[in-house]
Amino acid sequence: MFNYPFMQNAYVVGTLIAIVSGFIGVFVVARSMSFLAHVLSEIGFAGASFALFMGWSPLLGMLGFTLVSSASIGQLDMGDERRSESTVSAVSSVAIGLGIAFLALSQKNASSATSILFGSIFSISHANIVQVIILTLAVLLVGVVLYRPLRHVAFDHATAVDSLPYVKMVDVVFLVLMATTVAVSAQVVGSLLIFILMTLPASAAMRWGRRVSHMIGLAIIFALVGVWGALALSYWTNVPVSFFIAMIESMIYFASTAAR
Amino acid sequence: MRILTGKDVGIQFADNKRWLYRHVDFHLDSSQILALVGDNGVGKTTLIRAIMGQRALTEGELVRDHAQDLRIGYVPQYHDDIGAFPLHIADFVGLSYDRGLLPWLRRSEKEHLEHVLNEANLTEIANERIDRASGGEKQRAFLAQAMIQDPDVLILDEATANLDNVAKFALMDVVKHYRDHHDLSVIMVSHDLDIVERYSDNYLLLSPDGAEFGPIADLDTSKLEEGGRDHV
Repeated sequence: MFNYPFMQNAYVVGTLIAIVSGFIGVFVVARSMSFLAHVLSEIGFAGASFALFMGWSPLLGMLGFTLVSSASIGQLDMGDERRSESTVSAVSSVAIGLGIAFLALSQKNASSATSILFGSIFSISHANIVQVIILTLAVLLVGVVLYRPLRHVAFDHATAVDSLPYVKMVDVVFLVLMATTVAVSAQVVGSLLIFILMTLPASAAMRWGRRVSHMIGLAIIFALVGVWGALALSYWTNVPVSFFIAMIESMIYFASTAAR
Repeated sequence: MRILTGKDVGIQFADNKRWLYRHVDFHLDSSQILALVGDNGVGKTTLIRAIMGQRALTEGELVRDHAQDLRIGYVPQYHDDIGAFPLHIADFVGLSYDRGLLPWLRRSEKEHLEHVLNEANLTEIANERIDRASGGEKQRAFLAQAMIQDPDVLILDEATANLDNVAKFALMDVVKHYRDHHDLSVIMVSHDLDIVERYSDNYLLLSPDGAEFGPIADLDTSKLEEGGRDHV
């Protein structure tokens, strides 16, 4: 299996994506931003379709759209949570609608749509691989450098706002990290199923962990188990990777819920 | 040593021109505990926000006598739902280490953390989940979290509300200990007159008719609408 370059590439890219999704996922879940992650992935879908329509790389289109939206969301002051959920739903509808429209307009065949929606890790181009490597390493670097403020804001927001004078900047940076992680993770699981890698491993890990460092470590391990297992199983059975990741991660999650 | 002075402080509602209070004078010296009292809604939290630099005064000034960069630690009354992803108490208190590039704690920080936990009588339960701690233990953890950053002034916002007597005194004894050993000044917002009379040095009573400041012995509790020992 590992003799094939496409499998080697898939494992390298998949490993990095799993690490970054597990890491960022813990902060996303701690801050109850899973819904936002979902919406960002739909915006990413619109971006990828738009890029396809323009003849650009879908990853860059995804990244462009998600970065712009997350930066804008950062500027909005989400007051009432119930209202903001509805606003986010509305934005989500626009994104999906645009995505469908661009796909139809671009007149590409169905496989382009499938690869955006469900992931295309086995057919990832060399340029894309380099982009994913650079992006995941950048996210990890920023995440490590900002680890302390991110951790405080995520796990005790009430005191973080008084303690950190630049807390709004941390929020914006976090949204950018989320947007980037969504865009790269979509390469493996597709934009439809981002939450599988971003929120499930972290949610499962957070049932076990009692220190933030443990939660992150476990989330990364759960994500890696999912990605590695899914790549191998998909290779052997020809059933899509996303299916196996979904099954593995949900099993891990339900097992964690039952055990804890 | 004088830490903070309020001179002719006045705060006005932005929209309807009504004054919360005017001509408020007070001061806070090092190692002193100042009780901030007054009826509900009188504007105690607003003054706290002004002291923390998050809100402007309408008139008067708050002078930081000793140091411009006064470190203020704020212990809020409510935290977000800490039961959702409960951390160990040591990890929770350690969240206050929110500056610096190192993801892990330096040895000096670890020692400081142990020391702060010890002074708050949390060492034995340091590796227990915070959501399983008692009300008093949780409050001590919130207090310890504020102490990590070595503040010059600690602001306690209704810290003893909802605690039984044993827990209340346990908490205030820890506050006193920090005060004695860390050169700390404390501003305590409280409705609990028992605690206020037992632990504070001075009081600042806010009301729309005028503020009063003086040694705690001079506080006439009947001036508080909800005064009385059994007040909750």
